[in-house]
Amino acid sequence: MTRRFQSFDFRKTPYNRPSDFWLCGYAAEGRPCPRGPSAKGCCQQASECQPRRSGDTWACGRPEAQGGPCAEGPLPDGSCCRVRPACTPQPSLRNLRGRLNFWVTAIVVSILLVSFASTHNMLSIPAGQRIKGHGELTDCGQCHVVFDTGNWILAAFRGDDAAADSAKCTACHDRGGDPLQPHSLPRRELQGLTSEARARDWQAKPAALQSISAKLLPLPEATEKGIACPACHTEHMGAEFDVTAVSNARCQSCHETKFRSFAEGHPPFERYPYLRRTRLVFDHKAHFERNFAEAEVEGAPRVCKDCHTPDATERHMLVKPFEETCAPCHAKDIKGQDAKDQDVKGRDGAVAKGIPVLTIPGLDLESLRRAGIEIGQWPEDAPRGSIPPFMRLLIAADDQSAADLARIERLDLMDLGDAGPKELEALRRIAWAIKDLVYDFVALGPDSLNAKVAHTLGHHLDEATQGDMVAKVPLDAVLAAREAWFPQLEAEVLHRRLGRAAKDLVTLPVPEDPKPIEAEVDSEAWAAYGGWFRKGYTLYYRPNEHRDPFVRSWLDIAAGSQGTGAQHHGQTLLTLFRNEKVPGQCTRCHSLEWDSADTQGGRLLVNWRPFAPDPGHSGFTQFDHASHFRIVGEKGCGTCHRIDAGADYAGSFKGFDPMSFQSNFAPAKIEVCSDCHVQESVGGNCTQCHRYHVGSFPAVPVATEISGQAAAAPEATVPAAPAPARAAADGTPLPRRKPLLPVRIRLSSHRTRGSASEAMHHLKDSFAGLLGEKHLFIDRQEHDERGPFYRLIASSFADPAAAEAACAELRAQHHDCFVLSRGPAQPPPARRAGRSVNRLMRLFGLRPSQAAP
Amino acid sequence: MTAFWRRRVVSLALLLLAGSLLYLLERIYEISLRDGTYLTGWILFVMTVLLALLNVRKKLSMLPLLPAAFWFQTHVYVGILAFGLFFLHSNFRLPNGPFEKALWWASVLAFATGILGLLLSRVLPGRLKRHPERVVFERIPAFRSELQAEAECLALRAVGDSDDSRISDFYLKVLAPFLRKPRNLLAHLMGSRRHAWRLDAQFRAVRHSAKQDAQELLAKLQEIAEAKDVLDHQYALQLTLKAWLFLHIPVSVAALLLAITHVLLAYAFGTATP
Repeated sequence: MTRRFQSFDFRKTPYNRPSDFWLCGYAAEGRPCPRGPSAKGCCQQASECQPRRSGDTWACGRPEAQGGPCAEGPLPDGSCCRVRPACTPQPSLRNLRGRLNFWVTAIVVSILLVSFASTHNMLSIPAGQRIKGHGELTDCGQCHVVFDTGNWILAAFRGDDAAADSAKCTACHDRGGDPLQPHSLPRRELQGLTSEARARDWQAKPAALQSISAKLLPLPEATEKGIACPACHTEHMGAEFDVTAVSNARCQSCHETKFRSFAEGHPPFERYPYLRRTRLVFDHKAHFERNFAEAEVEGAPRVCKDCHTPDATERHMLVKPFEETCAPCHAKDIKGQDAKDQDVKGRDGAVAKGIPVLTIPGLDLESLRRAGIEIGQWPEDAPRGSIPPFMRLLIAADDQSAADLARIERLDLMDLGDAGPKELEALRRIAWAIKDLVYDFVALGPDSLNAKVAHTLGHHLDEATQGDMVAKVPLDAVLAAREAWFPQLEAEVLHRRLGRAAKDLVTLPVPEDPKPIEAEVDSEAWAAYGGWFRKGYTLYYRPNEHRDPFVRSWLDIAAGSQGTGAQHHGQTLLTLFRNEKVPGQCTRCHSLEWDSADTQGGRLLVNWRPFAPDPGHSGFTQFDHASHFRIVGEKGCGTCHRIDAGADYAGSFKGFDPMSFQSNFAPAKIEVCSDCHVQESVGGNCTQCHRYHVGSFPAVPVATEISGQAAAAPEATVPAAPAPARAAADGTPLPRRKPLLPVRIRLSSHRTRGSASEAMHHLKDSFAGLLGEKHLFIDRQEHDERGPFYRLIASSFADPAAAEAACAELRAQHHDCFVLSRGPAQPPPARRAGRSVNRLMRLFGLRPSQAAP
Repeated sequence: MTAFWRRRVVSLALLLLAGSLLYLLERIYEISLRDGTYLTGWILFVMTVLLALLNVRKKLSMLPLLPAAFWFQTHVYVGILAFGLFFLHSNFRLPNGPFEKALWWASVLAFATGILGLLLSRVLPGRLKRHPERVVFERIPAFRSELQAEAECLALRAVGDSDDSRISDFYLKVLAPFLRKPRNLLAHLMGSRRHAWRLDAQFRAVRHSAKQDAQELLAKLQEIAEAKDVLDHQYALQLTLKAWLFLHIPVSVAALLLAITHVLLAYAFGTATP
């Protein structure tokens, strides 16, 4: 038979109150008192009942559940006759649970308060491990502006300025002048790109979520402050976390054209990868079809890699040096080895083996004498000729001379019978300018030419270019030329500069039998290996190698003269070197284009080098050649680079705009890429091929002053410490561009003993003794060829000089030490009583915050 | 399909729908160059407050604030939804900062104990119903006391009726300790009957050697022991139904406190677009 325990008669069953905080101590014995304990847990009933008064008598009040009224009944004074000892009330389950909750709350709140108010600036609750590159940042204030203010709780309600924290990011991560603008581009440039994108009108079907997002949630309002760094880069996610990872959908959030994926909807490659004209003029199609195919030329390339090679990063394909590619066919063209004089007839006085630099042109001296034009002594047997472009550039430095050159340009200098008075007068001035040029060159040396070129270009040339410009022409060659051409030049020029008429110079002795101007040996043949030679009334230069410095410097000068009064003569010089019969032929291959660095516009530059990647430059697209070598198959490079038979490649170089061109190759087909670049295969993420931050962000090397290091460093291997402040070459202090990090030094020592832990602490103690109360952080144990050593970091130096002084002291004790970073002086953390309390009060705004540095 | 299962299916469908909508909302928010963790964080915080309101509702039982069963159902489904959203918010990974870890573990523990409580509340009541009587938890000590007094009385009577001390010895060594306080709680919780079989075997052994006139007394004692076992069963299961809250509520309180601090820290130091 199953026993039943309880009945639910309201009179016989006790009423339980499980929500009470205290239970009667007799409940466990089955006889709890009906009143139960008080709210504070005190026993309220020392007897079994509370007798009730009924008229003049007392009646027992024991409930039915306790057995009903007792037989004895209450005492005469109205108290219960069944007295029992007071119980010890027991806490209910609810009471115990409440106590537990209270203590958990108290413990959590206490831990939080202590942690946030800790003297170590919240280091007790760091927000999480930073990426490896940020391992050196040990102070929250290095990245968070609000941390330095102290009132971060108030800042949470106030709303923080995202740009302020981002400024701390860009203090180290240089992203140009507009780091927070989309793509780090100036707004105007971005607007131009947006207009271009709109003009393309490429229709694609975006993913559903992108469409909904664009309709429901317009982009955060673009402000002058731009997009804060954390919008894309999340920190405190672990050492190995990829802070640069961005989803494809986020990339497209701003873009005019939205599409599902790279394989579905990406706009076609319009010109990629041929976004600009090649720097070297090399017609692949012509060479493939004509030169390489028909020629049995030794050294002609057979495969692409004969001329192209990956760079050090294996991302870009470079052109191999001239000597390995073009030289077998074109090296002789530079020296003009196979050229003959008749080939170059009429080419600005050039001969097959040399380029005229200085020429005394033959003049119709009889006509000049008849017209009363006095030019002093001029060689009567000088042949018909023109003034070489080199001389014109030098003479045209003077505005009057430039105008005179233009005036006489159409004259036949050997027949001046029809020349007008103004033209003859211009010719007179030019004749004297030629004499001045020769005289100054001999008397003052190459500096006289430098001054003229500097005047033409509007800026001084560097010393190397000045040297290249005269190509170390020997004084004897110039003196001999002067003696042969103008025996009385010095007297004539000085006489004229003193203001006397040239006719008064007739008393000067004139050699009866001037030296023959022709040498007995063939000077042209003598200069077979290049250099200077004189022939007749012309001083020639023969290029002797690729990258000839003389020709190169003069072509730079000629290109730089564009936009000046001498641009016509510069153009003539540039044209001269484009001629395939004249030695040099530099500008046949080295293209000319507008100098983008010239803010005024109008200047040209010669592309002396083919494409070379700039490690500091970040473009919109990136392509890794090496990782694609294995998959291109039999077509090889032709998989992507297909010759465009109809393109007028050569015609692209008629102008100087490198962006206006027709490539030798057709643009790459997007299908070639999208066959593999799908998410299921090698991935189709935007960031595989595109970069967000666009611009030039070169790495800025540490400015390390060498002076003083030798005395401070005991060994040559000790790393040099940076100078206290950046300084220009002339010693002028440079202004700090951006706020820098607090001053820290790195210490390392091989002098260890005991276990790793003991050694660490010993070193820390000894360093602390040396450095005073600086923050010391043990970094790590490392090994080198000298064995294990330990690294520590000390921070919070007041200024760089103090950090350097501390380092010098440590180096004197044979420790390695150098300053890691420098920044504005920061007061060391003050040690004072009640610091935690003060900090806590600051957190809640009860005390003024410390001034932010 | 019964009404119970129909309600379950509808509730689960709504749960899945709400979860999917939240996920899509987070994705849409993220795509728009905003920080989706702010959105999920606030939804999670509101959900946490909603979950905490169940406790408030229990304390305000005098007010007509919808049936407690509705609140409990809401608590369960919102809790499950918050569980999924929590992992979405934490990017399906364990954070590495001590504070964030503490919050993560506190939240996970709160969810885990909640799931535990849900399972217990689904399993244990069914097992309580296997016995014909469900005893009020607070009355169990009194009934146990009654049984103990009754058994003691029978044991004394056995001593007086005969000079055989086997029954009294059996009482003192086996029954009295058994009746004094709740026993075999873990076995009851696990559903084991081994202790009952062992006690039955001990009774059989005593009955085998006892005289005929003591058999009735032994039968009464065995009935008392079985009644005590029922009480222990009730006590173990009901205590478990109450005790899991000793885990769930404190960790939930800790998670809530840490979450409030987390919100402050996120707004003070996080600089992404909310």
